[in-house]
Amino acid sequence: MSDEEERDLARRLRARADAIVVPSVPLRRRRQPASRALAFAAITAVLVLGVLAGGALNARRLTAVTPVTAGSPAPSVGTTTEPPCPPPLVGTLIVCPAVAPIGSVVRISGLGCHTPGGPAIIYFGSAPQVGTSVTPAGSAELGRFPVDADGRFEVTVTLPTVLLPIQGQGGGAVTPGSYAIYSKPAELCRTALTVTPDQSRASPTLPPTVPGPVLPSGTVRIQNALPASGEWALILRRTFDQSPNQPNQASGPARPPTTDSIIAVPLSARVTTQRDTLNLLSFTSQVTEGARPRTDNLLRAQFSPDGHRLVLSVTVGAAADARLGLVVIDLIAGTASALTTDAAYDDDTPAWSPTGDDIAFVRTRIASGSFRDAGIWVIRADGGGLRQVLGGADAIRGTSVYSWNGDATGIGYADGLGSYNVLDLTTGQHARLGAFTVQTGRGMADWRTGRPAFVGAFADSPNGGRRSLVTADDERGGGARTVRSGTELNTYFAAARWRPGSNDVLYVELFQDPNVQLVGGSPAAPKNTRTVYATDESGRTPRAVVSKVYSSLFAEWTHDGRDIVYVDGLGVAGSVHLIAPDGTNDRVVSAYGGAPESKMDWLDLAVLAVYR
Amino acid sequence: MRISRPEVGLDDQWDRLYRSSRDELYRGACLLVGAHDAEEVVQEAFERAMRERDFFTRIENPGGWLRVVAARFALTRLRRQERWQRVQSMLRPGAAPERDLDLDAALNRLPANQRTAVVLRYYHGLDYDEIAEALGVVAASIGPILTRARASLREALR
Repeated sequence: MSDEEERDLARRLRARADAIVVPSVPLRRRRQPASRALAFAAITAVLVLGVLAGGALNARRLTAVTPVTAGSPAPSVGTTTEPPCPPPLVGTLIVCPAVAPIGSVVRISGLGCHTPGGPAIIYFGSAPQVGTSVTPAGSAELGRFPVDADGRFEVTVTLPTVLLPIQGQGGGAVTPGSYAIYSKPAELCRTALTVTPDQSRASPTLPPTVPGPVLPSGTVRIQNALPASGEWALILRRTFDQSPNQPNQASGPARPPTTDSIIAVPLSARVTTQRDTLNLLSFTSQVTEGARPRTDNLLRAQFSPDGHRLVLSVTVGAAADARLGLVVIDLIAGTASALTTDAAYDDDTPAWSPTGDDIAFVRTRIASGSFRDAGIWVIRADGGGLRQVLGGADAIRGTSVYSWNGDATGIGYADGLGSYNVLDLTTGQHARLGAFTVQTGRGMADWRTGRPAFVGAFADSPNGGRRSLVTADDERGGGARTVRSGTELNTYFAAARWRPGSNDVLYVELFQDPNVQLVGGSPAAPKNTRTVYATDESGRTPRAVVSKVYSSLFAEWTHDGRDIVYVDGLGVAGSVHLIAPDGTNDRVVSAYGGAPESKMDWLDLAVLAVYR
Repeated sequence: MRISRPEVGLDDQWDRLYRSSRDELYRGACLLVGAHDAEEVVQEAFERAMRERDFFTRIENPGGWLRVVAARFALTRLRRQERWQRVQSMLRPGAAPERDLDLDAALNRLPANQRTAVVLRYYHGLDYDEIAEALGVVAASIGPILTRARASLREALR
C-alpha cells in the first residue's frame, strides 16, 4: 500500500468529481418545524400546485429539488450525457359513487427511477389552485410501498376519507371530485401512475357511528377496580386488528382503529397464569377518520402521585366529530369522568404534576378540518383553572408534553423539531435543555427533586449518529453531563429512570438490526435487540441487566428500588419479570397470552403504582 | 408565544455558506449516491444545519460539519440500497466478481461504509476523526476500512 497509490486514487476521484456538472439550485429555506412526513407533504404540495395551475406536469421549475439526470435502478454517478428526468408520476382519480366511492379500494401501479429498495411514497389529494378561489382539498399519504428491482410497484390501497391541510389550507372530509395521486418527485419519475378503481373489492366498512353521550359509558370501559393495596405493574396494551408493521396498513385510514387496554399485574406474588392479572379498563385513543395521529399515552407521566387516579387522552365523541379528550380514571373507585370537554380541540399528551394539583397537556385546534398546534395548557385535576401556559407554534402538530419536573415548577416538552425544552411556570420562560434531540419518545427522561434532577436519553448528533445518556442539575441544563454515549449505528437509548433513593439509573438500549433476513423468500422481522442497563450516576459502570431479541422490552424500578421490573413482549404474548439490578434472580411474576393471531399486541410498560 | 427569531443577516450567512460549499458537497454526494439523490443529500444537510441552534457561533468549521453530515445522509441512503441489493443477490446468486470496471462502477461495488470513507478521505480530504464521526465508528477502525476499500478498488480497476 503506497502513498503513490493513495495519491493516484485521490487524483482519479477529483478528476471524476470535476466532470460532474453541478446544477444551479437555490438553497431551500428552512422548513417549518414539522415531521419529515409533513415536510414531504409540503414538497408534494408545491408539485400538485403546479400541476393543477399549469395544466402540465412540469415539476422541474416548481420544486427546489430537481434531479439533473435520469436515475436507473442501480445507483449511478451523474453525467451530463444522460437524458433529463421526465416529469414526476401523477395520476388522477375521479372520486364519485359510480367510479370510486369515498373510501373505496384502488389499484395503483407505476414504473419509477427511484432508489432500489427505497419506498415509493404515494399521496392522494389536491392543493390550492393559483389565481382562483377554489378551496384546496388537502392531502393524505397513502403509504410507502416496496418497489421491485426493475423499479415497478403495484399496490392496492383504500382511499382516505379525510385529508390533512397543505400549508395550512384545505383538509377535512373527502368529497366527490377529481383528486391527484402522486409521488414525491425525486423518488419516482419515469411514467405516469395508473390508477384503477378495484370493483372486485367491496367498499370497506366505514367505522361504526358511536352514539353519544360517550362518557363515561362509551369512551372508556371500566372492567375492574384496582385493589387499594399491594404493588402492581400497570401495562398499557395495544391490540391492532392487523400488524402495525404491515406497510399497507402503516398510515392513513386503511388501518382499523386499535384498542388500548390497561392491565395490572401484582408484583408481590409469583403467578404463572393470567388468573391474577387484572384487566382494569379499555379505551380507544385514535380518531378513526383520516390521517389524524393517535395519541401517545405514557402512563408513568399520567398517574396522580398517590397512584389512585390516571389521566388518559382518549377518543371522545361520535365518529363524525370524534376528537381526543382527557378523562380522569379513578382506579380504586372504578369510575371515569371527562376532564376537558371543548370540542374545538384535540387534547393530547397529558402529564400529572407531582403535587397532584395540576395536569399539563397539549391542545391542537380543530377548525374546519385543519389541525393547528395550540400550545401547552394546564388544568386543575378537579377540572377548574384551565389556562394556556405556552403559545402554539406555527407548525401543525409539533409539541408533546413529556413530564413535569420534580418540584412541579416546570414542564418538560418536545417541540416539533425534536428539541427537549423546559417551560418554567414561575417565570413563563422556556429553554432548551442541552443541544440534544429526542429520539425515543415521551418516556426518554426522568425528573426528581435534588441534584442531579434530570436524566434523559438523547441523540446528540445529526441523523442520530451519537446517543447520550445525560444528567443535569436543574431545568436550565446547569451541570449537564453526558454519562454514557455510544456511536454504534442503528442503536438508540431510551427510557432513563432514576433509582429510588439512589443516583443509579436504568436505561434501555435498542439495536435495530439493518440486515434483512429472508424466510421463505419474504423479508422477516428485523432482529432487533433491547437491553436494559443499570449504571451509577458517573456512567462508568454500566451493567447489562437483561437483553432480549425480537422483543419489546420495557423496564422500571420497583417502588423500593431493590428490583427492576420488565415486560418481555413477544407480539401476541408477554411476560412480566422481576430482576435484581446486577442481573441475577430473574423471575417471572406473570405470563399472559395475547390476542388471537389475526390481531397484534403492542405493549408499553408505563408505571408502577404502589400501594401499601 | 416565544419563538426565537433569526438574527439580522443570518440569511446572508447561509447564502454565503451555500455558495461556497455547494459544488463540493454536491460532487461528493454524487460520488456516493449518484446524481439522482445528490441534490436531496445536499439540501438535507443544509436543512439539518439550519435546525442547529447558533450554528454559526457554535460550529467552528461549518464546511467540515456539512461534509460530515451530508456523508451521513448519503450513508443512510447507501445502506438502504445495500440492504436491497443484498436481498436481490440472495434471490439471484452466482454473479461473479467483475474486473476492468470504471471508477463509478468500482465505487458502486464497495460496501457503503468503505465507499463513504473513500470519498471523504480522497475527495473531501477529511482526517480519520472526521470520517469516524460520519461513519459512527471509532477513529481506529478507519485505517483498516480504507485499506480494505483500496484493495477492492485495486482489484476492480485493474
